[in-house]
Amino acid sequence: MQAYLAILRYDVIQLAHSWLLRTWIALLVLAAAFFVAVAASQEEKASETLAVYVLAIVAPVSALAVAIIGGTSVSGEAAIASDSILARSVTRTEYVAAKVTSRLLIAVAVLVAVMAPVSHLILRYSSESDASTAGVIAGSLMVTAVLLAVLAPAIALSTFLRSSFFAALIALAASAFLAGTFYFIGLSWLSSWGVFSELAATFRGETALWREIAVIVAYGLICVFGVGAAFAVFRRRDL
Amino acid sequence: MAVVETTDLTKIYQKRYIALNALSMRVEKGMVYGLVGPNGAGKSTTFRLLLGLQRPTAGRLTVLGETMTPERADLRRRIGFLPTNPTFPRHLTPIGYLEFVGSILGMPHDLAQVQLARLLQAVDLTSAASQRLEGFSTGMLTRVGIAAALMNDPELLILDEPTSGLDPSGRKQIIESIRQIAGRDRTIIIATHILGDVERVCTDIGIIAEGRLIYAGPMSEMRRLARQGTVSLELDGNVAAFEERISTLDEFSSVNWQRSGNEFRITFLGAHPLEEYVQRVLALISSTGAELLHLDTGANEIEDSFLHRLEEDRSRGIERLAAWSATHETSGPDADGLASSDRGLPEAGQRLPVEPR
Repeated sequence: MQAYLAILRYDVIQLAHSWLLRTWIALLVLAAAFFVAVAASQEEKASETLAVYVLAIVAPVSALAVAIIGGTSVSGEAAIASDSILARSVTRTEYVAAKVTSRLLIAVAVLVAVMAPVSHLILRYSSESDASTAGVIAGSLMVTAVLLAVLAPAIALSTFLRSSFFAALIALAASAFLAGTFYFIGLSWLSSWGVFSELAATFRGETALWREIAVIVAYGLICVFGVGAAFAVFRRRDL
Repeated sequence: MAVVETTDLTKIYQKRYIALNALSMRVEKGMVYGLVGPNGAGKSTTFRLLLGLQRPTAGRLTVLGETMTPERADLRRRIGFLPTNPTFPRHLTPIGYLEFVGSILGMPHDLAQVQLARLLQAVDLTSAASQRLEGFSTGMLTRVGIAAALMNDPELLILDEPTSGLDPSGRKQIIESIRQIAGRDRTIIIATHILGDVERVCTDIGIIAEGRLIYAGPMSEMRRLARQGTVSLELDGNVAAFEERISTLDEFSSVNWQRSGNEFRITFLGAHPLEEYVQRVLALISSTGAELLHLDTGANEIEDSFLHRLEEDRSRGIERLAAWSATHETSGPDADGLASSDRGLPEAGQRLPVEPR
């Protein structure tokens, strides 16, 4: 447990000081300032302004960021992991658990830290505040679930691919492939594109509760599968 | 007590490359064991298996009396490891890094602080303790690695090519550090292909080639075998006459010799004391009118002995296979509980059956 906590602390500090995290937050915040200004000065509905912000900025920027954060989790420091960490009194389970926890924590923290104030400001300053608090929370949870479903497979891929770049790229491609699959089997509302395009309605509280739960459960399961795969693969791998 | 014992340890990567080929090795408590071999011989793979970073394809492996696996963090707590050209988090200072190692090891904060201060002083890095590791030279990084390997005061210390990439003064410093560490009741295994380093610090030596241990024994025995019957000379004057009559030394004991310019290297294949060979050579020089500039009976001795054994091993492929089969037929399956020596495993201080030079 001490090793787990030590690696978790080390990894969170590493991420917090990384340029990737700073760039990710800066892009979200700068764009948010623009959208809040638009909401305050134009005749825009709050739900649609917030939905466009998520669709145009949060989704693509965050998907790329979490794919990189996940893809670099293990392969990005393979030499340090074997030389300085796993050659000492650390089990592979502890190592992967710390990596998964730190990456999930950081991703959720950034999304909450950005979405909460931005939603509040847009709701407050837009000319027509048509979004409900429950709808915004549900929509934010769905967006977070979709993004974590990119992060977890990226971590799993980084446990056996040497290239962090390919781990991130494949995780993004798999996410796009999954969206296409949902679309072709008639579950377009469950695809990531379907979730993002219906966000305005979700923020207004017009999306059925069962659909919201289904989205969160489906992407939550993908996340769990990704984390499980990361543990299973890394435990058997030669370093 | 065997601190490390491997029996027929085999590692095959992706059914393509045999890194370890039935390696049987035994390291006793208190030894400073030099694992010597050319690049790609299997030294680092052996260490990765000893640390549980990889799983063996076949064979048995015990460390400190227990089987090592990737999940045996408790066993690794008793081991210190210095990898080749160690990779550290570059943004940390030595203090930050050793604190991190201490926290991984579960050391109480106060104890870790005392230990890291003591170790940084021991490896002469106190003055650089506030600098980031990214600005450190190879030698300084190696010393940080040694300090990190000693944080838990390990029973077994594994050093993989500790002098790799160092200049002569850096090498000397590292060798001195290892000597000081070895002075305690601790077992050390050092992998290297620099034989001079092994000669300076090791009590025992194992030569590994193509994933097999081809020689194991005390360093003193290796030295004795190496010195046996080789005389190197540099001459001036009537060198041609000396060369013409060199074959007359055969009357005393059969010889092999090589000439390179004015330098001769004469190897006697008999079992006489070295002094007698030297006397014969000096008498021959005197009688031919050549002038002796330099005589050596020890230069490159360990290197020569090492190369001799590698060459000998290469020429004994089928013979070796037959010997291995015979050993296994005699001893039966691994689970028979026989001592390692009964399975043909080199014991501490036991020389493998290779012919002396």
